[in-house]
Amino acid sequence: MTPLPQTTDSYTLPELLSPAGNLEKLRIAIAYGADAVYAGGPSWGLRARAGNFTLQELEQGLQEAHAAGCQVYLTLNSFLESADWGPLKEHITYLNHLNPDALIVSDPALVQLLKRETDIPLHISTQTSCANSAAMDFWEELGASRVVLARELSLKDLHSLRAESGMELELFVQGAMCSSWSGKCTISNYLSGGDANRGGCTHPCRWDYEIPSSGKGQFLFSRELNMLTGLPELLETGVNSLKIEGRMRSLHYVATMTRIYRQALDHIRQRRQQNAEPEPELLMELSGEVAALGNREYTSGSYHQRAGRESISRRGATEKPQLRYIGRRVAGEPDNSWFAITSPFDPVTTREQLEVVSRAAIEGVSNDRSGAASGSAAQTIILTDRGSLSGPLGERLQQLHPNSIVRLTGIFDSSAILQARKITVPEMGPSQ
Amino acid sequence: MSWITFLQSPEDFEQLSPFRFSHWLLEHSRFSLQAATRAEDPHFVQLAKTINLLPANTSVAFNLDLIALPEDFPDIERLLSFLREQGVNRIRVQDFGLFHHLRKNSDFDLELDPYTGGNHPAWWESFVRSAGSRLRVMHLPDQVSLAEAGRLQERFPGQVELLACGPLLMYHSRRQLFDADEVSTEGWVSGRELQRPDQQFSWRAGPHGTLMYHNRWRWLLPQQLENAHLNELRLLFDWRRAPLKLVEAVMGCFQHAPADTAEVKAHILRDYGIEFISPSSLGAATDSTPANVDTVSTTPQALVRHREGKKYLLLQAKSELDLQQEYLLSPPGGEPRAARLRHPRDLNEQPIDRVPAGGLFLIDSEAAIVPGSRLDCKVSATSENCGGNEVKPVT
Repeated sequence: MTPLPQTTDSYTLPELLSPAGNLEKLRIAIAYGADAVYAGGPSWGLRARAGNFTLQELEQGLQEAHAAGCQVYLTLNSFLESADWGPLKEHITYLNHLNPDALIVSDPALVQLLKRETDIPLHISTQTSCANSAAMDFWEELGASRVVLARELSLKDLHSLRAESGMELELFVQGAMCSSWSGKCTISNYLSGGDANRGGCTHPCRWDYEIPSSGKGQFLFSRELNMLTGLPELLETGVNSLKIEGRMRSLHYVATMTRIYRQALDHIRQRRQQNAEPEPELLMELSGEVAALGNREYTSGSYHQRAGRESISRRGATEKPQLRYIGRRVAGEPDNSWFAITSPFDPVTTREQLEVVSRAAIEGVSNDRSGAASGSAAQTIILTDRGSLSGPLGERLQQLHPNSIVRLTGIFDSSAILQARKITVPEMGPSQ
Repeated sequence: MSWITFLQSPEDFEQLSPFRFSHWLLEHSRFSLQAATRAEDPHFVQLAKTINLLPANTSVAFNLDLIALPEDFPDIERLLSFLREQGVNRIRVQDFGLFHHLRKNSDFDLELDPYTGGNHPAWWESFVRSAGSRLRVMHLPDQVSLAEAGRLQERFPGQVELLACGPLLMYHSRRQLFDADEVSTEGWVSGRELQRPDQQFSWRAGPHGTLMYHNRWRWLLPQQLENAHLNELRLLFDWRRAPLKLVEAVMGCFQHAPADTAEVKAHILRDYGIEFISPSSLGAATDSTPANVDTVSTTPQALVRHREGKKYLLLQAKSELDLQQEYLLSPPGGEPRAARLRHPRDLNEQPIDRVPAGGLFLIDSEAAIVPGSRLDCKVSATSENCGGNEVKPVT
């Protein structure tokens, strides 16, 4: 008889921190397993073009998040100007009323002011390009408890910073990143009048440029960060929070990335508790799922080696992603099986398979494809039978139409999303 | 008003000492972000030679403006020991960590150039509170308007400094973005985006990554400072990439004011291909534009560029444009002349009746237009005098 591996319950995962560009995305991030979300209010949140939250929505979101055991960090990380200062001082009264779990800030004067006027924990934004322990000491002395570290740091640096400072460490693990030092780029300011450090970046680093001796292309456009396969090493550094970029990304993106990272982290914990190594194959598979959703090239940034030319995307976002959003479950329907189809979208072809993804268990449908390997509750159901789709009058549907609703066989929780995935199998014919 | 410039070598001092600089900022390529990549000087031999050339009691600081990674600290400590031996007791930093480290662990006086941020007095006061009188100089980032500089100057006990003339660094990546065998260590990159086919940005690869500069240099005119009541400023001249004749031309304008700066600028454009922008001293309308791309007397309205062989102005208006307004059209280095705008079109070149707010559009001009010309309000710089329009160059 093979002895069972020894287990330990002491393995603690870092927090999974997801973007919440608006209230709906906050809900979906919570549903798919975020431990914390970060969100911006109407002002000073560094994402002028994100949906952002009204003050009422912030209160609602905070209530819902706390009820689900999820923390909410509010972004106040724009570089401030004189005209901001008066309104911000008045805003502090509201912040004390709102009482988020932390404020993400970048202005040293604001840190000092907030330290005097609130008890809300203060996190230092990656906009400050905090890259050494002396900088961490600087912010800690001002009153901050956490830093979102610069994306130029290596795993070796992280070990060193962990050893030298008691501050909480937060890191980006997924998503778009500046190729410049964050908070130091002014291309957008000069070339398009959008102040990058006040939420107005127009991404001129993604423009095409031409170098006489080497041709034309995107010489400054960073590949996106994807640290899925590097998570076991990253967790060894003792960081406290793993952050997914993307307050301006879609609901589908937030759901998928949160689900994937949740699944990966839960798997690592499960394996560590058994004193076993995480399965590289599963992490590779999940990394492939990231690639299926995105249409960008990926990099591990500077974590393994100092990022260089290989971290730059030369082709940009030219290919369509393998995975696309079709719709999500309609709230309020009695039998929890209706989905709203978004518009506009291209028809689902026979070279795509329809899938329902849900954070909670799905009842009444077989074909559970994922989740079981890691013990994660997330599930993906492949709809092998398109004949199971029916319209409002009970009619069977062979095709999905924009701005319509469709009924699926099964019972789905409110987080359920309908998506289409490109496949290589030539035919997925309709059922009888 | 005092002047300061960079020193990267003994040769720099020989060239620049005839001008009336009262302060010097030493650089070394291992520690200074924009230092030219020259022969390595690991034992500070060249740096020592430069320091030894300086007359006794010269005001000098070392520009330690890299963003430090953990691996940089051993070399930084070696540098600090060297500077102490040489009697250099002031250091300029960008990194808040280095600021904190030096404040806590050394006796060096400090200068702070955050490069970005620092847009309001409370920001600077937070550093004064922590460093006290050891914070001797604050260099205001290029995005800070002159109006704000005045407010900061009133509340800072030390010296306030601005870039008076030099290239504008707009991008700094830790990454080496170009292979050494692909391109040389510095060169030009052209904007290939639709609206910017003709702009070239210089870049440089060095030990601290890749730097890219605006296609125009900044030039702050003495009369702008006088108008903004900023006479006690320290002016930084960045001649790290400038030929001596250019230095002579610009410094001549400062030494022998009032000079005909328009003529000097025209010569520099002709001889070196360098155009200039300068920050506004003209109030809130331009304070809100971070780049403050403007001229001495007026707010620029548009840049002229060719479009499919025709000559149009490509404009973006914040509010509906008053076509009855008379404008000033200035060819590069030439005299402005009156111009009216006619025949507005959308970007498909279809005629439109009015020029709406927020849109991109084309306007034909009755006059022949030289590419690179600028269109300004005729009356004054404030948007109110342009019929409520603030029209910016399209990007």
